[in-house]
Amino acid sequence: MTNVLILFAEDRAAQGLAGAAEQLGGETRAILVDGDYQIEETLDALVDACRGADVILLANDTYSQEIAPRLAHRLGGACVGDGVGVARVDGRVRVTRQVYGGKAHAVVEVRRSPAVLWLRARSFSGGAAAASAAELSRDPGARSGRRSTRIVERNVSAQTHARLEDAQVIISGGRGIGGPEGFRDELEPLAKMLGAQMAASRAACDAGWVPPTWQVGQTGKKVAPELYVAVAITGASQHMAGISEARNIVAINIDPDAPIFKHARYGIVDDYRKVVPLLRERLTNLGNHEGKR
Amino acid sequence: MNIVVCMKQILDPEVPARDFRIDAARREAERGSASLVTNIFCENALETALQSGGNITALTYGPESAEDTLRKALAMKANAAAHVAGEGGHPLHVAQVLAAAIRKLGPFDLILTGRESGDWGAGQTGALLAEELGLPCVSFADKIEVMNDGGWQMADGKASDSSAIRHPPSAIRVRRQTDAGFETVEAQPPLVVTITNAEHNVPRIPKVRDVMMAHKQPLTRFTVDELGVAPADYYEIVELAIPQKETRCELLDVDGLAQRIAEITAAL
Ligand SMILES: Cc1cc2nc3c(=O)[nH]c(=O)nc-3n(C[C@H](O)[C@H](O)[C@H](O)COP(=O)(O)OP(=O)(O)OC[C@H]3O[C@@H](n4cnc5c(N)ncnc54)[C@H](O)[C@@H]3O)c2cc1C
Repeated sequence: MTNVLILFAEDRAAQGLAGAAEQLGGETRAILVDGDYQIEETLDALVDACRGADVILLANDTYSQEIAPRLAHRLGGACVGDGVGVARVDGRVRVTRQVYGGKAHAVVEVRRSPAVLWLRARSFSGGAAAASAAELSRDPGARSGRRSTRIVERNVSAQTHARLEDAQVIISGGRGIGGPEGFRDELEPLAKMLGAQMAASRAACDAGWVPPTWQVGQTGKKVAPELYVAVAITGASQHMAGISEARNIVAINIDPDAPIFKHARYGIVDDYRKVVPLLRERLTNLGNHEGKR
Repeated sequence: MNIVVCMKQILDPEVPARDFRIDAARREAERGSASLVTNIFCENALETALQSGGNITALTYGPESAEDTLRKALAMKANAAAHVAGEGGHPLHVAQVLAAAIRKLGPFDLILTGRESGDWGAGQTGALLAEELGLPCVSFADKIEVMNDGGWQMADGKASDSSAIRHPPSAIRVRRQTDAGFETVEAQPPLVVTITNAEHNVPRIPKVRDVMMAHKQPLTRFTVDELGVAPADYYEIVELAIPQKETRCELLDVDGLAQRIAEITAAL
């Protein structure tokens, strides 16, 4: 049995993938995709590099998600995405994932080989990193005529110097924030005080108040901070799907019946416009206190 | 320019968790009192197509009820609609059925799907469809521009007399969302593009008059047998369960919360 790990970056995701491979057993090698990523060329090269493998594991970044099903198809296998658990049962690969917007869990059994899986890599405990990742060798100009797409511009949004997925503290705002001003004037100063990263619900992103890179949830980032402060966010299952690994969820919401309170460890039922300024003041006082002691 | 938009009808994904039930034996959600809706990303895809301008066909694979998805697409001003009757299945089967229908209905310059569906959320249909058709694929797009007469244009939706309809475009420019921000991808048609949500592709609300007109428009109908798609193995759902996880929330005042936050962050 051979596992191949495909890495688009050498970060914590790599250890998670190695951990998942250990759970499946067999020999493992890793491929690092470096340099100028172009969709069709990378796919062609990966098809060559992955032949003979039984299991191919990718993380949950954009490139992994778009490549995985196509790689499976070209190799005659099957793809399962967004896995949070893997196992081998009677020789078959099984993957646990959320379905119905996080309202249910499914176990999916793969019926073709290879199994090409993209996983929430950070949900897996780390394995011994696969010895060393070999760089993907590419043969530009060869292969299929499907060269008709070209990434011509990459635009990195300002706030992504550190990955949201690796943040320890996250301040997140929802539709109840009411506009970009609330994010700028109330939440960002709080985030600064706590050294936190900013995030948002889809409703706030769709409104154009904050960039789409801030979105957390089923179709956004999957985060795992020690502290996640959800401000004016209802707690729809699709949002919660992105924070199931958060250690401490704090909810600030004006509605005592908001579902977020079913998931939060601590909560305040009140208008965030009242709560957040007071909270900053108290945290400043506490900070000064500690400083004096 | 000819565009086909693949659209799926699903159980309303916004049903609150407390009303959500599953049929564990059949390994799927119970319908209950939930309504059926068009998957939001499919509507984002149709909206994106409408803004690009062109001759648009809405295509669905699903049971009889899925006709509602097509009627709504026509009301939003898709030009034609086609229904493959059947019950769906795993992503490879769906992609094979859609590919077969597209071969009959086409040729198309652009084939759009949603990035994933709000029920199973496998996120594979567009990618597998591209492979079935032997086309390139760009994922997570939220904007499409068309090269016409030597210049890029983002059509304004009033494109019924624009040249975009009459001539196939020489090139297409797609903006797509990534983990870090955006990428711009240039492509030669034909290609598959999967669409995600953004501020500027929120689906339009059809006019009442167009909703009524949409009910009179003819649909092209296929069955899976007519399309000659045989069943294939891919994967099986072997377990489905609702996780039991509720936390007791401790309600605090601002002082109490500040204290807790200070404790948690001090321990980092
Ligand atoms: C297929 C699919 C995928 C999705 N993916 C995602 C995803 O990845 N991420 C995501 O977040 N959503 C996702 N959604 C959307 C999700 O279902 C919800 O619609 C969304 O999360 C709601 O965002 P919200 O809680 O900010 O807004 P709302 O539901 O409008 O909630 C606003 C909240 O703010 C509170 N509030 C209002 N004013 C104040 C105030 N002054 N002070 C305090 N509280 C206040 C209200 O009580 C309410 O609870 C998805 C949906 C679908 C169908």
